[in-house]
Amino acid sequence: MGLFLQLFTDGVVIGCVYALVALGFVVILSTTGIWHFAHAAVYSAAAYWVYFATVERGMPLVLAALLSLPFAACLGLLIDVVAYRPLRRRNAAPTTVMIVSIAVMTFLENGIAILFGTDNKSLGTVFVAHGYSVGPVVITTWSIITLVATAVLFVTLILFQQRTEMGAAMRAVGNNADMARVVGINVGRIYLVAFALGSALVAPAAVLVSIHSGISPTMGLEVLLTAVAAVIVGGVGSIPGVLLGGLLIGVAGGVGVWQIPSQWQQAIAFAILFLFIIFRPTGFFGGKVKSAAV
Amino acid sequence: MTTFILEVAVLINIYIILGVSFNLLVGYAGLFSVAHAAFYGIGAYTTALLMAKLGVNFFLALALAVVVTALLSIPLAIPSLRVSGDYLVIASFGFQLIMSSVFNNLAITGGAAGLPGIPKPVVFGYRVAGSLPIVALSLGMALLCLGAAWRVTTSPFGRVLRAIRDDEVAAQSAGKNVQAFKVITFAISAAMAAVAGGLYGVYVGFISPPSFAVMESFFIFVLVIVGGTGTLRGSVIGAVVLIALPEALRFVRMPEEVAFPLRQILYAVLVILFMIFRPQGLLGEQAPREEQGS
Repeated sequence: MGLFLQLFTDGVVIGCVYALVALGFVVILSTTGIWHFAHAAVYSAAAYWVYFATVERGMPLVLAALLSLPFAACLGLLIDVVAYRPLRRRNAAPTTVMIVSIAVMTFLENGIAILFGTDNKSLGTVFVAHGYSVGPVVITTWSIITLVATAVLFVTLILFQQRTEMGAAMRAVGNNADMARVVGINVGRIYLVAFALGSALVAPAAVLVSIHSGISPTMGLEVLLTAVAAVIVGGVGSIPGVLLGGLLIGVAGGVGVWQIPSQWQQAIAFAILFLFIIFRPTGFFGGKVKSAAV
Repeated sequence: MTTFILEVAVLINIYIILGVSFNLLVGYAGLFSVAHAAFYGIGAYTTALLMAKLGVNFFLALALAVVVTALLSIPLAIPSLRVSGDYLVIASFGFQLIMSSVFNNLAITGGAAGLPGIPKPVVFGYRVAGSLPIVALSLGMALLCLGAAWRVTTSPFGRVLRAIRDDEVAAQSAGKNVQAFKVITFAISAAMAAVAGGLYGVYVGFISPPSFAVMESFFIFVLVIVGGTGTLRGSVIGAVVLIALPEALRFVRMPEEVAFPLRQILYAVLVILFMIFRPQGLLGEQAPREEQGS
């Protein structure tokens, strides 16, 4: 039982990481309708920025982590302006945009590989590994930071979407961009806000994961695909759904380790995704689905 | 030098098979997937295991691999009946990663270390070793697949596929069993990828999971997009250009850890430029004629 509780707790924490990565992705998806796979590369790039600043330039970790937010935001904006905007101007099909986003991801990940090499690198910070016993379960400082960060960011974002004018404008553009333009919303600007905000939101997850398990250029893709699975399981466009989807996949993978060897963890996550796509493509909180006819 | 050219020729033949078979799926049936390398891998592993462990003859092993791969394409064909566009791409991503995980973790595949010692094929008592015979064998296979693909696309079957691609509802209301057509196309496409996989195994004599990973799927995608979707000649040219180009660059001396990411970047840039400026590819049809009529 103690082992089960430990695995369950670890699963919840990993699920929070998936949910954090998915949060920025879903802000972009629900506003612009773009399946922004290059998000994976923004995630890797933010982690490499922290590595570069702290290990190679001796910057304090907290400062580097804070600066990773504007860094990720700028990279996201750049991707929208350089790659997606020309496609929008040509009225490209959603699948075309998706292919381009995969290409942008490949471009950035390999750019990182040329600059820093393909090997795994460690940030060399161990202070977060201190564990506290709570009953039969051990929780590390790192896990607590992750849980708190997830709670704060999700609550803030839900409030932002529901209570602010900008949040309302983003939801309006997501629902119907043409109608939003008619009522005087600057759609191009909202897209930029979505990319800046969504990309900045990936930085906390990138920093947390790189502290915990080091960095490599391809660290983004598998995490992002798991996060996309969380988005679909939770229901495309729903922010509480993302959290629920992330936790479900995290816990299923974590508890699965109890019976199934851990190298199959990824396969479990994608098996869940597969079943959802076949039987319930709208997820738990089945809501608006923008770009694809399900 | 001659050997080098012959070796490149074998690779080109293998990628012609992969490109043409993938084009059937993307270009003719309009089913976007990033899991073609998974089928390529299933074919390669099945052929190699049958030959190396059970001593089965090459052609029999290849035939069995074709059947196995076609059957394993059904799990991916099922989501294509329920969802389309972006969701199918994501389902195929999941399928690809599950298969990669299987190649990496199943005991019989040799795991991450790969599967060495694949014997050379024996054709009518003649052992196909050395460069020239392998070129002949792969060329024969490539022509066979091209012929089959040409048959498929010019037959009434191919006409229905294009109808499904352009307007699924119209095809259905014309009394076509859209579901059956999709499943069969997936099976044909996967079966041809298995042929390419079997060839690759006996050609190199060794296979390992990275050869059939998600980046390989992306490469096959690039090849078809550059050549042009919906044109078989385009995929042949795409294979020649994209295999020969980096091989030619090999003469520029560069360490492999830079050359590999640089190649990936080249492919990514090609995709982005083609998608923005020439979405129909080098030899693509301008726009489907059917669209102007409706």
